[in-house]
Amino acid sequence: MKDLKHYLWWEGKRRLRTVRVFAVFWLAADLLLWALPQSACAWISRESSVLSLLLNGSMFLAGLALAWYPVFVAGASWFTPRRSLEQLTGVAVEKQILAGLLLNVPVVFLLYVQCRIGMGLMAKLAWDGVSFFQIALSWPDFWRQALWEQAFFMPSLYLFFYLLFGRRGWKLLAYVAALGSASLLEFLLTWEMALPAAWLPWVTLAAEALLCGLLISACGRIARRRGY
Amino acid sequence: MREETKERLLLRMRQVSFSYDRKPLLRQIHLDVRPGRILGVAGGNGAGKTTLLKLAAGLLLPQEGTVERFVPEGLCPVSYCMPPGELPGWMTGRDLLAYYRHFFQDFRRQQAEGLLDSLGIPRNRPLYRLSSGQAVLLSLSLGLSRQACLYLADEPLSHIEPALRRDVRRFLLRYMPEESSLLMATHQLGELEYMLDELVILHRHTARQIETESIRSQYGVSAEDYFLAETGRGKPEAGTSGEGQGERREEP
Amino acid sequence: MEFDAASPVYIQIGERIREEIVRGLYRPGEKLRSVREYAVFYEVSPLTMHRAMQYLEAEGLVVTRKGVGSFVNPRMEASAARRMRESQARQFVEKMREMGLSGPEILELVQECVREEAEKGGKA
Repeated sequence: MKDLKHYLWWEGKRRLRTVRVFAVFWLAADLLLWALPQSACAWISRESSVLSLLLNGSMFLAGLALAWYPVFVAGASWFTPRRSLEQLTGVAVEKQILAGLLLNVPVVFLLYVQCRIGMGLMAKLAWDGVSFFQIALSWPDFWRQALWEQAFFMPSLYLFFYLLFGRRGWKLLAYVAALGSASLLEFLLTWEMALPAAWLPWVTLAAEALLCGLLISACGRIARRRGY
Repeated sequence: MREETKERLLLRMRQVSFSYDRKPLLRQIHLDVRPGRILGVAGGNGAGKTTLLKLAAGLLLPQEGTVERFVPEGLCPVSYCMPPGELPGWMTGRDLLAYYRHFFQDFRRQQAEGLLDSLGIPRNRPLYRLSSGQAVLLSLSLGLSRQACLYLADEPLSHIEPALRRDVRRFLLRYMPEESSLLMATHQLGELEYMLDELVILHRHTARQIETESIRSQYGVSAEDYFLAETGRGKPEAGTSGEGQGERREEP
Repeated sequence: MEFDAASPVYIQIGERIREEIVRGLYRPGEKLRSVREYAVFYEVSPLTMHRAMQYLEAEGLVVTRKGVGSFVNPRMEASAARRMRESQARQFVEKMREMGLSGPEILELVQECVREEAEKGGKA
């Protein structure tokens, strides 16, 4: 377990470096918008569509990141380039994959928080009572959907198909396959098993967790053969 | 010369083959590494030097054949000195020291720190802000501070300005432990000539291992000229059977 | 360090060290530098340096004690040194002859050099 802990530490440090630019950017934007008095905001939304667009856009980026990061970045790009130093450590590939997936969770969480903050701040720029920044962040069970499915489960599916296809250019295909598999699983559980509604989320969670374990070990095996 | 009744080996490769993306790179490679030796792996670009080192390190698994390691008590089998380009550029010297300490049981941190200090390499600067010479010396310091029986260095002298190359050569000679061996991939044999005990020539997917002293005594040419001739790149070989007149210096 | 490709490197190094010994840089019984230090200095592999030491031992110039180091053979004959000096002198005389000097001219040349050396403050 100690090497998993160390590995989490270093991979976490690495991720932190890549996101810190964005973190600083959003922190600054948040502070700016929070400090702007309401009268100024009203003026901006009335007179300057460009400025309004810019401000909305900067917050919208967070929403975009929330949609794009979990699979396309969290899915494979931390794992697939030639990582000689990580290989040298001799830490089991499965542990490396597990660590990578675990670290997606805090990133997705922070992105979600930023989206929420952005929505609140963008309400200040509402024009005629309509705020342009309204991401459908309707995740009634945020913990299961965003932090488990988006950050952990879907990326593991994506990584599996990505490694399976084995070609660097087939990212989109891997994404489609991952989506397809997830939908298939949901279909099987909802329709075929005809479970009572109260049970469904828990059974789904259990099934996904089981599948995830299998996926991680499968990924490990494929990765070892390919020399990752 | 001393005869050993039983040849002790550190590493043995037999019939090792490796292909990248179905293109064969190494075919049926044999390699013996004895203790206390310095070996140079020479070959053109893409000849498979790095691949051979990675196979020796265990970073790659051979698709055919076997790689056996015979590790004495208390040592780790292999220490691979990463080329600076493959180390994460954002890490500082201090980060790397901590990283090595976390993951490698055999790492001697005090020694590494001492080496870095004596070389004048700042520990708080990220790798991408060090000069290429400093980066190579950092990587070598880390690698040599692991207690291994076989050290691997991938072209340590390339990208180093001529004035510093001598320092790197002397560094390697000074800090290589006794009874351990060094396997070095190199582009340029000239300056390494007398440092090498054996030469491994990679050419046309095969490897030939030969003692540098044998080259000089049998063919009377420098190891570099021999290598160039064997790989069809340069001057014709001087006469065989010990007519040792030194190298001919004609222009081709 | 430049070496001749014609003869084994360890012999060439052995000869260089032999010269140093004979020239008196090391006294009989004095400890030579470690193999590693020599290897770094000459930029050769430690194995080559070990062979050079073995060569010197075989030639009777050096005695190696395992774990301690190599020492100039205290029982090295003074005649070995004398022979070395004689052969150097002979080579010198031959060279001067090739350049066309006669016997007396050679002697005069040598005396001139010795005088200059003494004047410069060095030992004659």
